[in-house]
Amino acid sequence: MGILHCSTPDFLATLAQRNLPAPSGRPFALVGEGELIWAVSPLAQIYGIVPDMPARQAQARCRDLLIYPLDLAESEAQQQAFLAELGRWELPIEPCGWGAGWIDLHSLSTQRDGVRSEEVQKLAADLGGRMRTRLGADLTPRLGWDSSKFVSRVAAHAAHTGAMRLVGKAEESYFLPPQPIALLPLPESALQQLAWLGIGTLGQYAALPAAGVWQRWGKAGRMAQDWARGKDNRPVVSSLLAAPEKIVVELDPPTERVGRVVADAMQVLSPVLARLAQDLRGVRCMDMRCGFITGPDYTQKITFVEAASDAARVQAALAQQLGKIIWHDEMERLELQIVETGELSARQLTLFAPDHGSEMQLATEVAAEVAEELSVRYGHVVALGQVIEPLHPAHDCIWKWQPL
Amino acid sequence: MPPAISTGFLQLDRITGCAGVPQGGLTLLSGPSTSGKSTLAFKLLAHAQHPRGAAALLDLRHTADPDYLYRCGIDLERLLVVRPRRADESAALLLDVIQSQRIRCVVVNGLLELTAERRLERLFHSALPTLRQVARKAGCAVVILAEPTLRWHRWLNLDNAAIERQHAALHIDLQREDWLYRNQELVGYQARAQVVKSLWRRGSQTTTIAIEFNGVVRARDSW
Repeated sequence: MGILHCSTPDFLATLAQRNLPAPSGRPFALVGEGELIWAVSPLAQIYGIVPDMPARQAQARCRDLLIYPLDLAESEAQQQAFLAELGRWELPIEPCGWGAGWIDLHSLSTQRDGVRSEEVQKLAADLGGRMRTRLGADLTPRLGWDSSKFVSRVAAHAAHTGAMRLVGKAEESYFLPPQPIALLPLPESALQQLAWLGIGTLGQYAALPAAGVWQRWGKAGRMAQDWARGKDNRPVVSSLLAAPEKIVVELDPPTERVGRVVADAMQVLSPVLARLAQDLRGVRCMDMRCGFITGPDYTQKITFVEAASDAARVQAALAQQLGKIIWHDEMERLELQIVETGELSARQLTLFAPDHGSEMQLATEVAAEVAEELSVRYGHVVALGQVIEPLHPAHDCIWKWQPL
Repeated sequence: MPPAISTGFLQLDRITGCAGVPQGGLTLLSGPSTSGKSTLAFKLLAHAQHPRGAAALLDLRHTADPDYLYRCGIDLERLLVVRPRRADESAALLLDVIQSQRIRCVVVNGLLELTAERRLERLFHSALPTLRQVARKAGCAVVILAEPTLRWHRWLNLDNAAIERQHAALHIDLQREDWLYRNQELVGYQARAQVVKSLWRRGSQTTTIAIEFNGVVRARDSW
């Protein structure tokens, strides 16, 4: 057994709460770039609000939701402090999102013929004490220990705050099966399909035929099934890529249109994201460099709240960043460098129907029917609205007068 | 207590006596320009659309900005914007929108245009009892935006909103108090909301609400 997982649940929300005024007992969320939710308080999670959700959608789900801006610099400083404490033993560490990470204890086991649980408990007590001292009592971590990364993460999830859960190879067979399937970093569509099939635990997912899982969800689904069976041989590696993957997009002819730059960039970036998604990984941090015909190059770091492998998500972030900069000339080159990757986060099934469900469609049809009836009686006096390119930072909103 | 649509401001919902704006009743929102009554009304429309409803805006001033409505959280595809070509068909249009029984909330912007002439004023005042009855039957919240009435207007019987105030189940008056700054940048404003009349609460109550600009219109409790 050699991997320790340390996680501090609601890391960003707890940090933000320190600077908020007297707690009002209301759910709150932190909003970052692109008006997307970065962190959610435990009370807001009950309403089905998850990170990466648009702030509008979050407000529609929870009327009492308070929205605060995220202090990214302060959060990153605390994250670095957290990682510094993890790395105090000079063992390999791998961050796993905000306030979470793995520590590889295998080097200790080779020296001492297997790390004993008493020794790990001492290490854990030392780590917990240092975290409480450095980050504060409200950021007390949960620890999980096992020989694989996934099981140690599940063990940390099952532990109480300030406690550690040890899982051995012999224990995995009865520890893993009852755990919820939402702990696997599968996309939400896959979790929905599994929910419809009545599969809600890791044991049920592990019992599915491997060929069927491969056919339905591909390599990523098969890999997740192996994890659910306790077979996870991934080593603990630093998420900072030793040789960052560089993508250069030459724009010929040069252009001043954001849409074209984003389209060309996504043509090259999409296969990279798909490849990462196959391994259940995503991009966490990316450097962007824009080269113009004249004038200096513009560089910007793009950070995602969670590891992103969804092309639409990355495209929206690129479009938003390109829309913010001042274009003093046409762009002739765009360089993207993937600096950091990470394991995809486990998506929870949301409690409410998504906004594009059939009920919303019904309401849209109702509005259209009423508009048609009024326009028959009164003429061109009724309009419905439309948003063109909602993902674009400079999206356009227009009225469409009825009848068209 | 009737079913209600939240205003988006918890403190304001508490003092209305019915947890928001009543469905099936008339609500009057008064205040001078830039007091926040339009923003409050738009947030009401956004909450009326949640989770699956349609809303309507009777835009008598022809000033409805789709981008601002979108940023207030309104789903534009489920919002009817009605701009009557003639002022005398406004009351009839409003009744037809409510009578369709498929619209959850209607905001009328503004009362001054609806009662610009004596003839139109008489027309609208005579339609008010029917309007209340139809709204009650349809379960539709009708919100009318009005300019504030000065005291000397009332003394000299020049008060245009007296009859609307009588028929309203809820009357909220807004006054902008202060601009809000963050790092020397204007991020919003703070307004004082006074519930002047409520059928479910005695007396007048006041609270402060804060509205932030840029991107999503955010509601904050004052502290």
